[in-house]
Amino acid sequence: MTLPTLVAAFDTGTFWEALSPETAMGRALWATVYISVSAQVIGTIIGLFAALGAMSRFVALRALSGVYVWFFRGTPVIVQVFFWYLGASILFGFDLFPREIDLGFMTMSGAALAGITALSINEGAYMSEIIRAGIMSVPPGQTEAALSVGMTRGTAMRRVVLPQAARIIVPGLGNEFNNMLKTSSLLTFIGVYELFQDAQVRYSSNYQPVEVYFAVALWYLLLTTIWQLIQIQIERHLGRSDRAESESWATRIFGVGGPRRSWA
Amino acid sequence: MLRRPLALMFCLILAVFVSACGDDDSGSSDSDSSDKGSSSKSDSDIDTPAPLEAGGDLVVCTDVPYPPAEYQEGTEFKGYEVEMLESVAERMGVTAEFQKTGFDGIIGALQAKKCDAIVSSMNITSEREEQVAFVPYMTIGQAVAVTPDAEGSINALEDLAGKTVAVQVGTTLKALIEKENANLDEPIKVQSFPDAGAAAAALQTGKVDAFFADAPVVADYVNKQPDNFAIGGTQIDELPAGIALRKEDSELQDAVQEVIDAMYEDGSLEKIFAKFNVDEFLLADDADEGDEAAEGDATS
Repeated sequence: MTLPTLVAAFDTGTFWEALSPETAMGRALWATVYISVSAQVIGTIIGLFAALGAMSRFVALRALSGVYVWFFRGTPVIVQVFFWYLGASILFGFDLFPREIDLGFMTMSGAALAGITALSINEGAYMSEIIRAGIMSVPPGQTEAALSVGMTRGTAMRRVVLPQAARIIVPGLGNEFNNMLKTSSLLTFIGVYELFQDAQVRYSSNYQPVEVYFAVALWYLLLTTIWQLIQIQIERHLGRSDRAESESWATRIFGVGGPRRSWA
Repeated sequence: MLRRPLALMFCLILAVFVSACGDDDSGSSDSDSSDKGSSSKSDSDIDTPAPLEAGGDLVVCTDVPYPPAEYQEGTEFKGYEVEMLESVAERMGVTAEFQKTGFDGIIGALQAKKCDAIVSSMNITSEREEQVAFVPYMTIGQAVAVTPDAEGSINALEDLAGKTVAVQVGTTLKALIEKENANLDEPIKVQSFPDAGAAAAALQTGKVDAFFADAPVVADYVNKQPDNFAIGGTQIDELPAGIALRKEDSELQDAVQEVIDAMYEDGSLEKIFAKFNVDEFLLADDADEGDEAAEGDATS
């Protein structure tokens, strides 16, 4: 088949139908959003502790953090997802997650919770390295100065080092969350009804995988675009002391319209 | 049949833009031989039909793993559908060569001449018949597996009221259950899995109360792991499954039909199916000729 054949075979009606909010916006879109957001938030917290552990004075904490990062960054996410949902039950003989969790405002399936667990723990390993890099980018003099005015190590980290590290961490974090939105599609394999599974269910009844996959790709693009806009605002806020002029969104997303920032 | 794993999509897109999907020796068998194939004689049962070449390959697209129909041990293809196609090819004087193809892109691969035939437990539906020709060889319905503890308590769909059922994405079961739910006080809850293995594991670990799949798949789980799985009721929603061929290859269609009929007559197909405990799914006697069995309007 050639490109014209593909275009001819492409059913735009199906494409728009799959793209319309009534069909995809519901449960599936919400599941993708809450799974990604929870996994990223929990993963970032885990990552912060793992990063502090990696820089600890205690060798046991450094080792623990090192093994954690080594293992969870070095094995496939899909295997980790299967492990938390199915493998752990087969190995240990009991369920780690109930079938359904009633959160009051919504019911979450055990599969979704297992998925959030797997993605959070995996994400923590990546975030740990990003946060560690951020902390190391703050000159040691900052800590020394903080200690010399009587702050404890903990306060110095919280009040002086982390706020400065945040500027280095946020772009990496943004990258990670962008990835997370798409990685959450792996949860279809443990039966979580999210955007990607919605697409699978859809094309398996209309036999038009090309249109449906294009539509689901655009949904993910919409989500990542919204996140990109949010990230720009966060970076602007954190960088306000450094940057006098602020750039437009078009400049930030597509690199057009603003001052040249090339090296040459 | 009904599974549509995703690897396919990428394969399909690839097949559209590039020319090869999978091994690159696939397309060669039918290119330059279309006019001489039918005349060459061999020691086989019937003449080698166009577009094949005597002594050449019958390239077969199949979506593995789908035990017990088709699966791989190392690089070798096994399963009752694999053995059936090997016999079919042999009787036509060629060798069957299997090519792993995702189910969603498999009809596209046949049409793009990446292969000469598809065997992948594909149910014959009117939608698919618009695109390809079928030679039916078995009937595949869908069946429910339960845990051995629940054996006997679940014999029909309504027994699953209020329970959670694992189904494979793309099976007709979800629609069937939704229809049934209209008559039930407590609806049957559905959890969809792209892959039968994960759905079965969900039943094994108590995440769901039952697991729906193609009947031969359920039979295979029950046969191999009687400690974990039991059968719940008889198969439903039966449809014939067929070997798919390109519509224009009428000579090949006739030859394959002839061979399948012969294999039904001499009992060799039954022997292959019995080896895998699936002989109960062979076509009923009156459907042997095949063509009249190809009617089906369900959307599996």
